[in-house]
Amino acid sequence: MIETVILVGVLLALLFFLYARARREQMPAQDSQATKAETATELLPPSHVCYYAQIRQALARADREYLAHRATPAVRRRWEADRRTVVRGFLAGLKEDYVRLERLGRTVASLSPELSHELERERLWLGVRFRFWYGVLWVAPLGSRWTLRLLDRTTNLVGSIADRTAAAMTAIGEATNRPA
Amino acid sequence: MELTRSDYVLWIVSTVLQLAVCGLVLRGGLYLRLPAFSAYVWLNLLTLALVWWAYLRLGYSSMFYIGWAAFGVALLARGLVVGELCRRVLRLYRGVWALAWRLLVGAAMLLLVYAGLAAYGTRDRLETFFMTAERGMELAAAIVLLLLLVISSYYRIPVPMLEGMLALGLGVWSLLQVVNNVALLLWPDYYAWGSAVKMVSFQLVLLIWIAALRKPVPQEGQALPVLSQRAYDELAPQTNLRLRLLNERLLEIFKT
Repeated sequence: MIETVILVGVLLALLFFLYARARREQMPAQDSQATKAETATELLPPSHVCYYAQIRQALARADREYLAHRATPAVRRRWEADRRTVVRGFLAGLKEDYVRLERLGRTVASLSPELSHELERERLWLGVRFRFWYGVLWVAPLGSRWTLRLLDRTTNLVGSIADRTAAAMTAIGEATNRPA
Repeated sequence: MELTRSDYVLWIVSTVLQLAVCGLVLRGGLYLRLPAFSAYVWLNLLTLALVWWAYLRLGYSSMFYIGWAAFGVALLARGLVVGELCRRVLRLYRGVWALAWRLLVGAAMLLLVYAGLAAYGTRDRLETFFMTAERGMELAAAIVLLLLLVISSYYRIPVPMLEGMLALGLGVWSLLQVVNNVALLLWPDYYAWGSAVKMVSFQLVLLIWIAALRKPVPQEGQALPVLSQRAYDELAPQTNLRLRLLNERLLEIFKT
């Protein structure tokens, strides 16, 4: 009985949450200015990935090793805190880029007369992967090789979703041009 | 089994609310927009009248069979309503609808097979069989409605307020029935309460529907949100160029 009550409670909460979200989705459509601004923002290219090289440099082990010998513990702690803030800022930006591209892909898909199952499945899977690695990176210790590999992987995913969106646009173009 | 005064009060309240919903359906011309839903609310009213008649004329034992038969028909009609709501919300988005209906039908079939198997295991007792089958079907209806909202949310498809509230009402009703049903199966003493809970939850759903239907049904005929060739010709190259630039930039980062 208790399992059923928990299951139904979760499903009810989901139902109300999704209903509220669907209604919220309806709101901007009534405000054409807001919709235009939102669409224009979505069409902007990802702006945060270009800082990746600097971020990777900031996470280099050499800096930590250098400071371990030269700086006081207080300075090192402040440096670590600053570094974490910078990396988290980069990650937040990366997510912003990703969500924007993903939204654009979904909007284009929703407006298209024919969808590619493969591309849709792939975008969904990329979204799950991105959010997973994003969550892991958010709590991962800085400076380790593991963190750097994760950052590589997550940044790469933003590139992949950009690829997928381009492919979706091409596929839709072909479907639209196909004679009926 | 004698009905108590509270049973009569609940039946009267339900009848009044159902009459209100039926009246609103007629007033707004909803039968043109949502024929299955309109038929369903009228069918519910007829079912209520039939069960009343059976109880007063034929007694409780006849009412049991007539009640379950009427309930089965209403459950099937509700399945049609769920399908209608899914089609109404997604039909303008041709690509998404073509992808989604298969997913929704697949999920419904899977859940109905599960309900059938669960009910088959309890075939020795008729009442338990009906209740287990009912629980599975209610769960299937609720999950299909949830999937509809997930798909709408994923593709940012606006759900019209009317269809959204009707779906919310149906989903709430189905999920409450699942809990009520399990309680009825576990505790036979809960029977009198279970019937009251069922009616009160249905009244709650009727109130949600009245709230949805009290405003005039908005006019249809919104522009189809399919990309026009011209819009596509302008949008696609721009986006492709930006995405290509992004990819080149990424490659540069990885090369350094």
